[in-house]
Amino acid sequence: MEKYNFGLDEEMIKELSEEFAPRNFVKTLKLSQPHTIEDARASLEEYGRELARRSIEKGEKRIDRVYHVMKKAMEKTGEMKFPFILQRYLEIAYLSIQPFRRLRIVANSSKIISYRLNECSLYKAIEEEYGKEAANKMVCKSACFALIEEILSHFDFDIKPSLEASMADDRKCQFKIER
Amino acid sequence: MIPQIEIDKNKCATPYECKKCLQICPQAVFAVAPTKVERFKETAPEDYEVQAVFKDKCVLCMDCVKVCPTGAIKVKVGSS
Amino acid sequence: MCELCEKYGDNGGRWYLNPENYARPLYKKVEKGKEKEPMILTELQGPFYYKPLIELKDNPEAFEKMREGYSKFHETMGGQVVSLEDAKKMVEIAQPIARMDCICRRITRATLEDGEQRPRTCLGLGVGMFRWEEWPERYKGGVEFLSTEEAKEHIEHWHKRGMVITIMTFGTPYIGGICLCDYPDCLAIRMRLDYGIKPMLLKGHQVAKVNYEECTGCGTCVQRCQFGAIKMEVTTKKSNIDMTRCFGCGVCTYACPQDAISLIDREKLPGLKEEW
Repeated sequence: MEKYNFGLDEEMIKELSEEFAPRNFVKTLKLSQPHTIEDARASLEEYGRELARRSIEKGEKRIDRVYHVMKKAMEKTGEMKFPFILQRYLEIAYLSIQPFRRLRIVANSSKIISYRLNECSLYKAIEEEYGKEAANKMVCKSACFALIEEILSHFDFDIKPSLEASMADDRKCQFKIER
Repeated sequence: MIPQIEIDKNKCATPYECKKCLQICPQAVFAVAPTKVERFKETAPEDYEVQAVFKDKCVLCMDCVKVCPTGAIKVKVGSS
Repeated sequence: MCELCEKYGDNGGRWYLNPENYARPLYKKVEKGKEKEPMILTELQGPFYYKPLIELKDNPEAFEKMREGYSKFHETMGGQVVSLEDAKKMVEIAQPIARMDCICRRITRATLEDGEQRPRTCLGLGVGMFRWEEWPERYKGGVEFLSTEEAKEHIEHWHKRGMVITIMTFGTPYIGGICLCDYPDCLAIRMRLDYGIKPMLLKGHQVAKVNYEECTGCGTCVQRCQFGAIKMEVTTKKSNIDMTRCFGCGVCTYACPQDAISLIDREKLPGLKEEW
């Protein structure tokens, strides 16, 4: 049998991680000035959306064997677009900007996809640049919500994601997307 | 007192394809498995081995000895 | 209470109905130069993995020690009997579901033929199935992805023909498969019944009970039980189920032409609720 590559295209992850480096992006937020918080929120949303768009754009071109087999399975069964297409792009996006090597998936069934971030480079960059108080306002969640919502709408899912735990209160973020 | 079952590997070359002893044994004493497994590869027929794993179940009916086309199996009453 | 439910259940629910126990990421980022060679799976180092256990049987002390070792190991890779009803709930949670040849049967009976004889009863679950091509020996004959409905039909088909539905974990509590099992070719049932390795196959959450008013004593159920739990009582002409031996698989409930056997919750019976 052919020696397939089941992993994500490494070049793709590298390109995305350069384009969306959290530290560089966070510097542009100017969060120390209170009146800029709305602007900051808007640019975080734009960052999340753009990360989703670019992940999908690149990911649809660079098809690893897992995605190939997954697509065949979806064709055959008519199922699994939920959760796996969403999961694929969430993983590509997060693995590009986060320090961890695997996204902690809490559930990925036919009805629910949920994941947890035990550490977050975006939150950390805001904390380092603007202090703990600024970080704990969780303005960064706008980026994650925009990322999820953009992926959902790209693949024609009308679902509202929710945040079940946050870095500020629980020292971890947990998102849930339930049909 | 567990029966002694010996399988001559030189005579039993491709057990997975032959499978006669495995299928005839009323007590399902035998097991066949690849001796090596590699990524992206099916194991070659000659890299399988059969062993009498559940020999404590053997009742010495000798069906396996009779069915073996190469005379590779020897079954004896065990010594305690 | 079931220990696995206590540890891995979702608010007191059955552990295998908790979606968390099916969850895994699709990908992992590999650092350049730090790629690890994957573990070579030799089907538990062949079934020969069990060989010392069996050879030691005439030395009770050594046997007991070895048995404990295997029991410990099977806390990370083991299973439990489930009812058809629960199995149907499981395939509504688990994704993807892929039909494959039974690995036990291949080991114990060397079955691998095309057509009718092909023993394609196992269902591999979870994202690992997208990578099956990495191990063509393990997934000999390939895998076939099933929809949820197809999976339900598959399970029901074999269960009604007499096969026991079991779960297999690969790193408990991660659930990697639903098996349709048959003694003696099933290694899990065999290890539990013949060698007492408990965590390899725990009893299910239910047990079977005969309704004596409905039972006509035809004996069909006796032939179907894989656990030696049913016998015909000669004088009463009724079938008798020893509920302490019953694994709660439900095979007899479907075999009975009178519908005289039903599954009841183990945990409602004080005498059985700690009996797994």
